[in-house]
Amino acid sequence: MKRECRELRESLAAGERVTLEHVGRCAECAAFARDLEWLRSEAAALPRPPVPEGPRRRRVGAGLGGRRSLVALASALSLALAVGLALRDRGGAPPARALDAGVKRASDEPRLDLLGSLDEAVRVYAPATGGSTGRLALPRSEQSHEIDPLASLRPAALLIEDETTKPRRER
Amino acid sequence: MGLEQSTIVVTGALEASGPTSEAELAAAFALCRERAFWIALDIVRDREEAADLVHEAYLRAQRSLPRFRGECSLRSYLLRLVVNLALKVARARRVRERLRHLLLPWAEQREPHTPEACASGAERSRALRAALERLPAKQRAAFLLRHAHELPLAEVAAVLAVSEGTVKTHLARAVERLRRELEEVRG
Repeated sequence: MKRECRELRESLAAGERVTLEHVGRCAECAAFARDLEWLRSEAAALPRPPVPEGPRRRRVGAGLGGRRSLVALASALSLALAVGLALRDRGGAPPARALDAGVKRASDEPRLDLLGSLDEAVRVYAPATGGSTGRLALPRSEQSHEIDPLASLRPAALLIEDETTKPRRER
Repeated sequence: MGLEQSTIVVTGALEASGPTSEAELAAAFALCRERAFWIALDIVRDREEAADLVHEAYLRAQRSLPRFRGECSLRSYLLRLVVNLALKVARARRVRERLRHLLLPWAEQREPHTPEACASGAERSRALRAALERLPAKQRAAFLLRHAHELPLAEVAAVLAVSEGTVKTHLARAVERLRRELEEVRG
C-alpha cells in the first residue's frame, strides 16, 4: 500500500477531515471510505439498553484478584487446620464421629460444658448407650435417687466370686 | 443561583486539571455513567458485568483520587478505568473460551453467519458485534469509542492512554479487518 493511501485511510478511520482529491483518484481508498461510512452508521445504530439504576450489589468473588483469592483460601485452610489440631488435642476425634464408628471411650463422651445444653447431650448420648432419646441413659439407681441395698455387698461378693473362680492349684 | 453553581462545578469537574474533590468526581460520574455503561457493555457483552465494572471503576477512582494529577479530564479518567477493567474481563473471557474449545472440541461452535441470515438490521448488528469481538482488544476499544460512542480522537487517546497516532493506526487496522469480515453481510 502506498504511503499516501495509508495516511489517508488512517485519517478517514479517525474521522478527520480529508480532501477528497485522492479518494476520487484511488478506487481502493474510495471503497475504504464507502465501507467506513457503512461501518460507522452500523456502529452508531448498535442498540443501547437502559442503564441499571441503584447501587450495585457485588457478587460473591467479583473483583477479587487471583492473589487475594489465594490468600483467602490459605487463611481458611489454616483456620481449619488449627481447629482440627485443637480438637485432636482435646481427646481424639469429635464425639459424633467416634460414636458412628462404634468405638466408645471415656474421652468420646459428650460433656455438658462443651455441648452447652442438656438437650443436646441427650440427643447425642442416649442413642449410643441404648437409652431412650427422651432422657439421659443413666443407671437406674441414679435416675430414681434410690439407695441400692446391695451396693455395700458387692465388693465382698466379688471377692468370694474371685476366690471360687481361681484355679484349683492356686487355692 | 444553585443551578448555576452546580453547572460551574460540573463543568469544572469535566475539564479539571487540579486538585479534585469527591463531589466533583461524583458529578463527573453522574454525567458519564450512561456512556461508561454502554462502553463497558460493548466490550464485555454482559449487562450485569458492565454495571459491576462501572461501579468498580467509580470505587477505584474514589480510592485513587488523591493521586489524580489532572493530566486529563475526569471523564476521560473514569472512562479509562472502565475501559481497562472491561478489556481485562474480555481478555480473561477470551482465554477461557479458547481453553474451552481446546479442552472440549465437541463443545458447541458459534454459528457461522451467512448473507441470507444477515439480511435484517438485527442480524447485521449481531454480525458486527461478532466481528468486533474477534478484533484485538485495543482495536475494538478504539473503534467503539470513536465510532459507536463518537468520542473525539484526543479523548480516545486519553482513555486508552496512547498517542493519537497510535489510535489512528488502531482505527485503520480495525476498519480494514471489519471490512474483510463483513464483506458478505454488506452485500
